[in-house]
Amino acid sequence: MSILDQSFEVNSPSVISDEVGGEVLAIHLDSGTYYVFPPQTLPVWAALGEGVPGRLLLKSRDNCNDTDRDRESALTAYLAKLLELQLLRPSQTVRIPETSPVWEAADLAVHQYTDLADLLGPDPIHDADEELGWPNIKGSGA
Amino acid sequence: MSVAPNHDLGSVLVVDGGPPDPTASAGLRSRLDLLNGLITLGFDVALHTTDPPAPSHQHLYDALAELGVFEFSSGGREALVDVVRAGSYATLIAHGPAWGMLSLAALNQDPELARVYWGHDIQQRRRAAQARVEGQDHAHGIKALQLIEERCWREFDATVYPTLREANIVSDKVGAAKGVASPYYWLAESDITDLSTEPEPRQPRNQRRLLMVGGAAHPPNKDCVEWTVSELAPMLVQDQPDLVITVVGDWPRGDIQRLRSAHVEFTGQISEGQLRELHSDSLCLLAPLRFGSGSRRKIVGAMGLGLPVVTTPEGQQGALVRDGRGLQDGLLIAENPAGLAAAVQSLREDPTLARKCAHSAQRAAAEAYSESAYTNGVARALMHASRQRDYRVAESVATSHQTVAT
Repeated sequence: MSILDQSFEVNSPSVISDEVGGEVLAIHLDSGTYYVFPPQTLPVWAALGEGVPGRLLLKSRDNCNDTDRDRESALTAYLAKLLELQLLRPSQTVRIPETSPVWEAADLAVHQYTDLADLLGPDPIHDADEELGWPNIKGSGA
Repeated sequence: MSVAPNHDLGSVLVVDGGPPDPTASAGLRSRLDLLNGLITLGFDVALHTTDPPAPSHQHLYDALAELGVFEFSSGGREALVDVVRAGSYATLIAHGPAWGMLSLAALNQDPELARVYWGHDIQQRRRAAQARVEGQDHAHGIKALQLIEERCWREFDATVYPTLREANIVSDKVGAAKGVASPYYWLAESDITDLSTEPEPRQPRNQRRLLMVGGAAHPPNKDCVEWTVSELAPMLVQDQPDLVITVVGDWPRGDIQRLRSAHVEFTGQISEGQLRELHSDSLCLLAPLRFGSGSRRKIVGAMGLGLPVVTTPEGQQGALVRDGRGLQDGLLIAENPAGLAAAVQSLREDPTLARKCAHSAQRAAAEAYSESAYTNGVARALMHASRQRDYRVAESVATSHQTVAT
């Protein structure tokens, strides 16, 4: 069966995802890697994560420049990428969208960031500094 | 005032990175304060750390066992799920976004578990303020922090921050009264100077010294000292040429060479006793912070010892659970170098003002961070989480009945 005929869901609890400031972010809690979906990708990610098979998202709008082949190829690759990143996993639930989201092949993107560990690592206010309010005896010999 | 232990309260599982070393940072000291507070209140306390026990930490585990922590476990997300599933904890407390995030999967293992997110500070706000001051763009990283923190605010029954302002931000954001403010530090009796026995007017032995506390590894501290050297010190010494700014904390040699002068000296790390000596030998604590969040131990500590504090509106925030109120809390607040320099000069020229600040600061710190204030704050936070847990469970039952009915 083609990947476009399968349904998927967000790979929780390993992955948490939400819209923040007009973009969708997904964080893979196992790796600390986070992913940003540009605004134009939002409806596709949302539909895929809710169990809509990719095949149902292929319908193009009238003024779309993509060929059917372009769209099928782009969405197949995109789904494969999301599975490879373990952001989605197969689901038994199939949802049928009331309307097909508008998208173009060039829209399908996900940007990867790996600096979350640096952001979360030591708490720079309270844990990374050595000032500790009451500086300790460590190393002072006092 | 001590609280009588009550072992009927159930057990609390605290989730953290490692065993808190109180000598390593103010934040870790606050984590130990929390364990101590819970045990003082009568809770049985277990600690789960993501770091496996290391031989170098054995003394910390020994100290925690001595304190009364009854159980230790370690491991990642799956290990925590197993610990929660196998245990019979009444409450889970997770520290900060990293361990709040790690705990999310474990929360669902026991719906009856009261879930407390101990936030320390709102990191997304601190990072955003830092990016603004430093002119950097960390937009996506800040958004990722926002996602994590707001997910924690929603998934945990109660979120605890050091100030009412931060707690209200949580409640406003998630649309429920989930935010709770609780004192971040527990000042021991020895941390609070009894000024009533001091001769009046209070005169520091050294009116020339302005004390700054903070190491270079902490970006707000680094910015604070660098800004002081470049912007504030020239203005200070223009009218008061004998002033000396003493910076306490770890600074790289290169930074010290770049920043020190006839008016700026660096002590490096010093002992607690030496720092206390400096507190009684300084005109004031100088803390012109330009960004940060949470509660700063250096300001709270100086207040407890009756040292007037000259700071910015940023430093004023988080000085007390309700935020500092200025002069009535012994804080002299100014936004710019001229205002800060004028505040220092007024302290120097007006012993009555200095005495009033010292007494007000000491009284405010004692009121906010005494043992009873601290333990009452922790008790209130856990009771709040317990009530929110009851609402959550009742709502869940109601929802499931509704589903069956339809």
